[in-house]
Amino acid sequence: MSEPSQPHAHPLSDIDRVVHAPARLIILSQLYVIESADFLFIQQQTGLTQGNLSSHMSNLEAAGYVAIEKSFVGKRPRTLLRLTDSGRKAFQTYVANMRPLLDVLGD
Amino acid sequence: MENPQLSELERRAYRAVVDDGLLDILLGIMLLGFGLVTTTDVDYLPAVILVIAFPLWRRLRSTLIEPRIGHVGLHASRMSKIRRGKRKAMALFFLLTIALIAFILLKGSLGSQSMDLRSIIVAVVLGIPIAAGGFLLEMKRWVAYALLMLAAGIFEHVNGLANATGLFLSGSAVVASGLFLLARFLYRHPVPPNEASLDV
Repeated sequence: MSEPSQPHAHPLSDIDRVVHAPARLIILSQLYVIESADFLFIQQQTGLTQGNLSSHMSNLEAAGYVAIEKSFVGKRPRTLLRLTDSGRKAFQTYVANMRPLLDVLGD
Repeated sequence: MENPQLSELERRAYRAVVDDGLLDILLGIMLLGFGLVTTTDVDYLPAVILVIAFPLWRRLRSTLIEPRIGHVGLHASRMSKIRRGKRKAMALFFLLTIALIAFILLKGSLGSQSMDLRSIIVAVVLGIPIAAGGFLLEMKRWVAYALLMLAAGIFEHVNGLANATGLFLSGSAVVASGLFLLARFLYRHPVPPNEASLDV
């Protein structure tokens, strides 16, 4: 999670480091555009390996950004992943914080 | 989605749901059903196909598609767009079907010239909702299917072919296209070997 910014802190110090990691950013952006998905769908769409996705998903769950529901469809287990409200807000804040920085770098 | 990259991600997720060819196969079967109606007495067939199509699609998706690419619940905005598109296409279909039934009931008094054009009329009546549905649901190939139906209807009319040949031709082509898409999908997405470990 982000720490409070200092008076002359670098703009990047405000960036949420949970969101900032490339793999987690990919996962969050994928979950942001859908309602929910199971593990396999996110894996297929992001191209991450099982271990990598599982580990990042645990971090995101610990941060309260992703909710994980386990259920059964018939006899098959299904792990449904969903962005929480705070996860959605964190992603929006991240994008809002990064945009001006990237705009300046683009000039 | 206001961001183009996010919109593209959302579109990719949506395409994963509609690009497996199953809907195309069901559409083709429905066209063949309509063809059978005009050549036989089984006039309830399209209604039967319409009623079983959606549950069948869901069943096939959960047994054939989801073990390969997983399950996704689309975003609320996409779902409402799909619902609106489906409602409009169905309304158009029922409106045109009523018009077609009225035409069939009145065909005795409409004269032989209108009857000569029946293959084109049927293609238009079925093709317009299919094209509209394809356009509204961002499945552009369905617009191509509708054009194919019209071309087949014209071909039937110009060559004086047997009744419903155009529907059989276009229905078979749509089924073939769906089967091609499904085969390509199955080839590109094998079932992951260790499904049980796909867990967090």
